[in-house]
Amino acid sequence: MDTTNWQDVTDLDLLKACIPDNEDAFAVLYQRYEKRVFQYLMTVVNDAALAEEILVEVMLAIWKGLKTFQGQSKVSTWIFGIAHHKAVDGIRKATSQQRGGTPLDDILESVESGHNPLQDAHRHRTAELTNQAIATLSIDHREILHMAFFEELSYPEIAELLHIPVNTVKTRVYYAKQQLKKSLQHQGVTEEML
Amino acid sequence: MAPEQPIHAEATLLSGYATRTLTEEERQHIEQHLKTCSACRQELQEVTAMQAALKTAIHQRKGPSPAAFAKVMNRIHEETQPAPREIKLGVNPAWWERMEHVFRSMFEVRWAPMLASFLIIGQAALLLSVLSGPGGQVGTQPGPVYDRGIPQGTPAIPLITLQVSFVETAQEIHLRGLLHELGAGSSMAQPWTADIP
Ligand SMILES: [Zn+2]
Repeated sequence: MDTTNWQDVTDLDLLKACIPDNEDAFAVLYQRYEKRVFQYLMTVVNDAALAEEILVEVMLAIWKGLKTFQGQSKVSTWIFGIAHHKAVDGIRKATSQQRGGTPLDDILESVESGHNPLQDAHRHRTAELTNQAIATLSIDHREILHMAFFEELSYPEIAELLHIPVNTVKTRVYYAKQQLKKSLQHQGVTEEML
Repeated sequence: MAPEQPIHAEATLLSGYATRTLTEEERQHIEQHLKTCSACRQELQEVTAMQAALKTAIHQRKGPSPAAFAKVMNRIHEETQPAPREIKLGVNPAWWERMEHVFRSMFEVRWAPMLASFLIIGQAALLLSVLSGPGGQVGTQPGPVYDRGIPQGTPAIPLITLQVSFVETAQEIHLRGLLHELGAGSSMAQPWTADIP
């Protein structure tokens, strides 16, 4: 495979190119998924240091599990399935160690100075409040909203990676959305602000 | 009954409708339903607004630090790279290129710190005249060899290049002495080989 054009390669071909032990191909796969997996973990664990620890575990598990990927599901579904398992493990360990989370005002990128500083500050504030609203939801709710709203996975894909029935996914997304709405209102975020 | 109980089963498909992840059959059903149900139209509007807010909020979060990538790549590199069994040190016009290659491969493996301290402790000096060609400056007082491990930022394989600084007074005998200490043959006949455990 032409090593210079990996950016254009599909996830599946990239995954195949990683076998056996192609570190260059894996580095590309890593960078393709690093931020997505990390953001998912941040949504679930609410702790940047812990999310990064779990990210390392997820990536190593992907590397070790490359040969076990059967191609029956999408690569992204497979990867988020691994991330889900590792997140559950990580939360269990963190709970037993009674670790604290990251302060919520510290999880956002600093505001870039754009054309309209007032609007930028406003958007930043809304993002901050929205992240706080997400953090107040139950783990199940914020996880499924991340999958459905951010990753835009289909109901069957979410069902597969969470090992729950498709109908449970549909109703859980519905209730999670109602909770997010309440939580946003509680944070003072109105529909006009969004 | 909870106040947020969906009035219609269709309401639980609206997020999928908004993200275009429904089956064609489901999508057509929802489209028909929306024509006659104002409650679901209102719900769809909320779902769309919530989704946009959530996406914006998550996109503005910081990403992971570069340390995570380095940690993962180092771990898998350690696992996949077998330690070299034999290292050939060719003494020919391109020998320094080979040395660089040899040192690089040495410093990718577990025992690199040991080798580094070897070089520091052994006050051996490498020969300047080999680098500068025949007639290079050769002094009388040998000095220490300085070394540094410098991680290079290539994304795929984090490499460590060993930089060796030759003191101007180094002599051939010091180079041979160093190679001898590393387990290489001391004959000037090439190639020199060093067996690394
Ligand atoms: Zn309806």
